[in-house]
Amino acid sequence: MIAMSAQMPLYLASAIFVLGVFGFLVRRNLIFLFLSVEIMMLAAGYAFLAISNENSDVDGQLMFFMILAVAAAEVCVGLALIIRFDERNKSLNADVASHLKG
Amino acid sequence: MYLGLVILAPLAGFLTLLIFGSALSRRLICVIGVMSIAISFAFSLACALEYTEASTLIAWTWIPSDSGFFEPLQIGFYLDHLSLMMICMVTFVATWIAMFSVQFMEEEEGISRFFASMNLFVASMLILVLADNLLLLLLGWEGVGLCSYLLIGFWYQNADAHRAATKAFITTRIGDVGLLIAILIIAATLGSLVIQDLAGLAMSEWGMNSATATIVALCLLFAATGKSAQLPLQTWLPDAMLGPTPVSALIHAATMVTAGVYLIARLSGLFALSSTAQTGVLIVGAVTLLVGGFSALAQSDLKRVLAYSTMSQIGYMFLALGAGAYSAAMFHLLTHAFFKALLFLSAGVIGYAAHHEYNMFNLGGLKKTLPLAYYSFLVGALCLCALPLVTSGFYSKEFILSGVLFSVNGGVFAWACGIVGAFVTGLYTFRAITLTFFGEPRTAIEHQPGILMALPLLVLGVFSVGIGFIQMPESVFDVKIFENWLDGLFPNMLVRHVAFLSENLALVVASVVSVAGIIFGVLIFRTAKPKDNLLTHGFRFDEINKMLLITPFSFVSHFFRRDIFGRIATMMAELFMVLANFLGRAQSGRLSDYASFAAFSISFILVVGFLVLR
Amino acid sequence: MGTVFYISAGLATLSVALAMSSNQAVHALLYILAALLALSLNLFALGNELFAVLLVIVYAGAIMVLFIFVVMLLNPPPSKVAPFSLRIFVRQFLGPLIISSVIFSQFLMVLISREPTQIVSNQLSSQDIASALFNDGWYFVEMLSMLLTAAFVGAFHLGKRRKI
Repeated sequence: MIAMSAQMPLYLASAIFVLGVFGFLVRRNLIFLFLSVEIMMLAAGYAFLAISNENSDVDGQLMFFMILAVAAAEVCVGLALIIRFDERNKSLNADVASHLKG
Repeated sequence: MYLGLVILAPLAGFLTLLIFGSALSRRLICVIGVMSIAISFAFSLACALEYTEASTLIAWTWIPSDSGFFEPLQIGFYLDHLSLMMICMVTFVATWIAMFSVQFMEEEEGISRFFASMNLFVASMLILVLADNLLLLLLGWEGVGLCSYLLIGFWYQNADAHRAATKAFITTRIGDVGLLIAILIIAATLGSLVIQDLAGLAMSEWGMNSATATIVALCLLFAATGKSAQLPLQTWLPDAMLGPTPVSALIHAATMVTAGVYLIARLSGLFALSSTAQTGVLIVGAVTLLVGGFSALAQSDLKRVLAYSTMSQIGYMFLALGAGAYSAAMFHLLTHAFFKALLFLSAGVIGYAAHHEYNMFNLGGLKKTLPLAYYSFLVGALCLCALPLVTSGFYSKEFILSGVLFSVNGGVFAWACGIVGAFVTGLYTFRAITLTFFGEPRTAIEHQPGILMALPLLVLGVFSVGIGFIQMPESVFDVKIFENWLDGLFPNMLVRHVAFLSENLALVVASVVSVAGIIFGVLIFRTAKPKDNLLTHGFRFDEINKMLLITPFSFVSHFFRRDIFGRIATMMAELFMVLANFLGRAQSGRLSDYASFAAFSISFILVVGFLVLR
Repeated sequence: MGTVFYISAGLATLSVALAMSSNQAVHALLYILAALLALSLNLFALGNELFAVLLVIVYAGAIMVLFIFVVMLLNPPPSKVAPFSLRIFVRQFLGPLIISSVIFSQFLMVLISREPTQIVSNQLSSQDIASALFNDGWYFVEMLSMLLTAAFVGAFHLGKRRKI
């Protein structure tokens, strides 16, 4: 087994973050875009937790609280907007929303 | 003393018709118009009878000068053999053409304008011919250009005629720039503009084959090509046929287009100083005579055939001038004036009778219905094609061809161009005759010509045949009246022997070629069809000019049409707008694109930062 | 306990990758759910049992469930029902089967084993976190609650049925 070091959790966090970024760039469906944002926030929060565990600093734990709450609020409002978008444009394709072109 | 009256008569006619023209009756206008030119001819004859030696008539001092270098410029008229020949020819032909146009223009409005312009033209041409200094010559030069514009655009309501008149004026004007430059250089370097002094002054000041001499001579050549419709300024002549036919006869056959030839002949002393310029004249003449001849083969309009024919014949004159055979050139000028005016007036009879229908493919069978036109056209055509021994055209063309062949500046190649041109001349002329006069009639004849038309045709016919006999080659009769008349005026031509071609052989070759052209013209073109190819459009010189000169010039003037500094200021703003539009394309409005940009930039910064801060 | 960490880490990554590459929204959401469970295991292995549980309750239990409900709301009706294909069924079934079985096995391992569960000796306990949150960081809590209220009002307003 690879020896457990302080950076292991950070590798995990970065892997999940990169997967989230990749998903955000590639997918067109609004749900998937939103999901990718959530994954990115999850990865960032996990990184906070890992580091604060390592250094026994309580501030990192509080940050994760914040990220959790913000993710919740964001999901609320964001999903409401997605419902509105779908009602208006009959489609969940992000390319449809290009009125600000040019 | 008659010399002044020669010029004053048409000037007086012009002024009278200009001021009082609208108040006079038609008959009176015609009488004044014709008689002023006839009086001028009478006075020219009087000058000829009284002539003893070359003299200058000084009217007054035009530009006084105190400086030691410049001579004061005077209004002077110089009469010698050359200018005497010219004024007699010009006034004689102009009189008969004026008489012809009385009947030709009998149904036209604006007759006083017509005769006023014609008189002004004759006056300007006389000034040009008689001028003793270059500035007065320039006055006459511009005057004939102006009258050409007025007369081509006589039917000014016709947009095409107006365009043709403008084109003629502007094209010749471009040539006039050359004349102006030459005059300025001469005045600056030699200090005198009197033509008779120029040869000697130039010889001492510039020297043989100097750069100045070549430049001046080439500028003069450029000016002459403009007025005489040679390459590269030849495009205006076919379009100028939109004017009334007597105008074409007078201006574009007999007189104005010969002004260029006259200029070079008069200033032969300057041209003798530059062999480059002489070669230039030769080349211009050779090329133009071929261009004109071949273009005439493909035309549908009778007058355009004659226009290209004029271009070609003046090419012959330039050919002779370039080779140094000045007398030959002037002789051809003289005979050409008569037979070309005859040809144009015959075409005028057709136009008068068939209601201005000049398209040969719509005419036909006129031999029976318009015998006057047929016979006069035939006489003129035979002279043009140089039918051996009987026509004046034969003798003048012979004179040119033998001069070109045996001159040091000319040579076999130039002579060969002339021979090919002779063949082509026969071809296109008799193509025109076959189409117009033979075959089935395709247009109805409205009125028959009257005495006022018949008489000029008769007189011109007699002269175009008879004038030839004053200069015949040695092997025929050895008559040298013309050559002796102009003896001593021009630099001597250097001659040399040509292998394989003696003078008699060259004579025979030229005769055979001319007759062959005539015969083939009748045979081949019996079943001719209208053409639309390169030749019909005169080798597309119009398009070349448009592409090379007009389009860039109008682009530049369009660019500068508004305040240029304002445009520079707004150009800044326009530049930014263009930039904004260009960069604005990056805003696609799509979320994925923006995300990609952001991800790419962030990773780029991270990588760079990582590398830098290592 | 080290193996739990590594296995759950690999599981989380695998789940997220499968989520990103799936065609259906619901499949992706369920894969994310599996990833969250794996991450919670991971946090537990790191000694942070408070947030391990919080992750499951709040994140997986509230947020992801909200997601799934909305996706079920938005899902367009299927245009046609594809005929049942065993191959596709097995393929779709296989990934989740493996993941859930591994998670389950890890859970069992943690429950059954008698060794200390934490691989990192953690100085922080839940009491420390809670006291920090409510004593020194009370403004934090107030701020977050205001945020949540705003989100609640916004979502309520946006979701109201109205005449177009």
